[in-house]
Amino acid sequence: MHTLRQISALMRLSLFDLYRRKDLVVVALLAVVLLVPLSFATPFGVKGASRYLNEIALLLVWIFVLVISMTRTARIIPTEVESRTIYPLLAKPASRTVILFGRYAGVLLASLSVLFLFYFLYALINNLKSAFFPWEVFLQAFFLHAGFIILVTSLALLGSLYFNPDANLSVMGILVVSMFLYGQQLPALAAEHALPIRTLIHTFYWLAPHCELFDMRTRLIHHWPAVPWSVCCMAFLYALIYAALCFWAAAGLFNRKKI
Amino acid sequence: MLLRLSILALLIPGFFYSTSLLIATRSASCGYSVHPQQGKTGNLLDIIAGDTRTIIGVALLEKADAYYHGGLADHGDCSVTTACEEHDHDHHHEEAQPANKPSAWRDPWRTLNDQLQAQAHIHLDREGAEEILPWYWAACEASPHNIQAFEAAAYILANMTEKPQEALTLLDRGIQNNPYNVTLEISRAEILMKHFNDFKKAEMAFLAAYQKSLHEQAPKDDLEKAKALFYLGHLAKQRHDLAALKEWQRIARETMSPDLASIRTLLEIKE
Repeated sequence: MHTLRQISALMRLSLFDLYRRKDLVVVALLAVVLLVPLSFATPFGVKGASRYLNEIALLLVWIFVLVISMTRTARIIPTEVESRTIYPLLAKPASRTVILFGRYAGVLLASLSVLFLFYFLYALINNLKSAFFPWEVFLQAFFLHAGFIILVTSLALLGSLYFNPDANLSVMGILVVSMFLYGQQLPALAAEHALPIRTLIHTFYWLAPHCELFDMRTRLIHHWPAVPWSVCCMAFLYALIYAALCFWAAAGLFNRKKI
Repeated sequence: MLLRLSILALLIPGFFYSTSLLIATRSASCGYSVHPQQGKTGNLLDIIAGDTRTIIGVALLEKADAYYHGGLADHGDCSVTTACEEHDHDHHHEEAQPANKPSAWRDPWRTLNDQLQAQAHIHLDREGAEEILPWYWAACEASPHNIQAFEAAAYILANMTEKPQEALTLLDRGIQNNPYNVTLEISRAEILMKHFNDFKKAEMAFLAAYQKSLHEQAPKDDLEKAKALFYLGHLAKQRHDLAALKEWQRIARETMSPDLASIRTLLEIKE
């Protein structure tokens, strides 16, 4: 009970920090500036097209939430160390693992709240504009996007204990985007190479985070039918297990780290 | 940092746009050619981007094609097979099972991905045709020499959204940008004939296409020439001008390559 109270206090700290800094307002304004002129466009004088707008809106949601969640997570520990605020935290009667988990859970909660806000606005605008809205696919898209955020924040947390924040963001950004774009093409790439490289690519394919699994944008934009919830849960479970392993490694590093 | 980035994101396009306008007004009046392909536009985008505009245009065209196939870029090419032609294009098909599917235990990531991502081969129906148009519009704007973009956009406008006048306007702009292109001229003539029943203007457009085709050497353009000749013969027959019909047949016989014999045969049958 005492540990839970400690964790919730640390989580509140991260959550308030995000909304205090007004990053979200800037991001939302940027989205409005990009999307509002586009929404008035009538290509060739034909009205009624909305999928292109949905696609751009969802792409912006993916980019903004990824940037916010990764930058926030990558700076949890380095910023605390730099500003020396880590020492009062360490002096409290809480283990390092609890401190790390509390701070991580706070950033994760803040990122998920941003995600919820963006999806809520997306659903609201779509419901006002069009008669049909695929609610089930929308919920699955949100669920899997949340899984994606859990996965990338855990990676950024682990990276923050190895690299400085800028290097961490670069390395993890490249890894996440590469897997997102080319994750499913790795077996074909491996098949084209001789044995040592093939094994290397196969190992990477098995170990790297499969971010591409969580992208349901095509289904949502083009009104494809929903997938079984059991499949969604399996993908979400994958994200949870991967995040737990990353956190476990990060906690191990943090416990041994000399501050 | 995000604030700075957002200011930059607003300032950079504004700077490019205003500089582009300035250069365009100054250099276009001097007849300054900016790019051999892009013509004498004096547009800063042409100077900076050059062939990049063509690449962007092709990418946008691919996006439009993906939209036609339910958002799937990798939809497989079976446009010439009977099975695909017999599709009920108005509905999502049962999702296809990928070929050579590995077992779930050997590749769980792929199995999961196959179940999560849409994979069937579908085509957009008439009611959703307007969804493709923004991408075609962007492709035409990005690359004024992308013939396929102009042709496909005009086809969608005329046949799927019932806006033949907009299709004609678009084709006129395409012809203005590509004055020696045969395909656009034929598309224009077909729309004039099919949607406006303006056979006189259509014949003039086919004639213009035929004359442009005489300067083309590639085999594809030979096919375009055959198409123009066929329609010219067809229109001559329609107005009972047998002399003109025979003249077009003679030209077809003399100038067409043997592999285009079917067009010649069609012209002969019409007699």
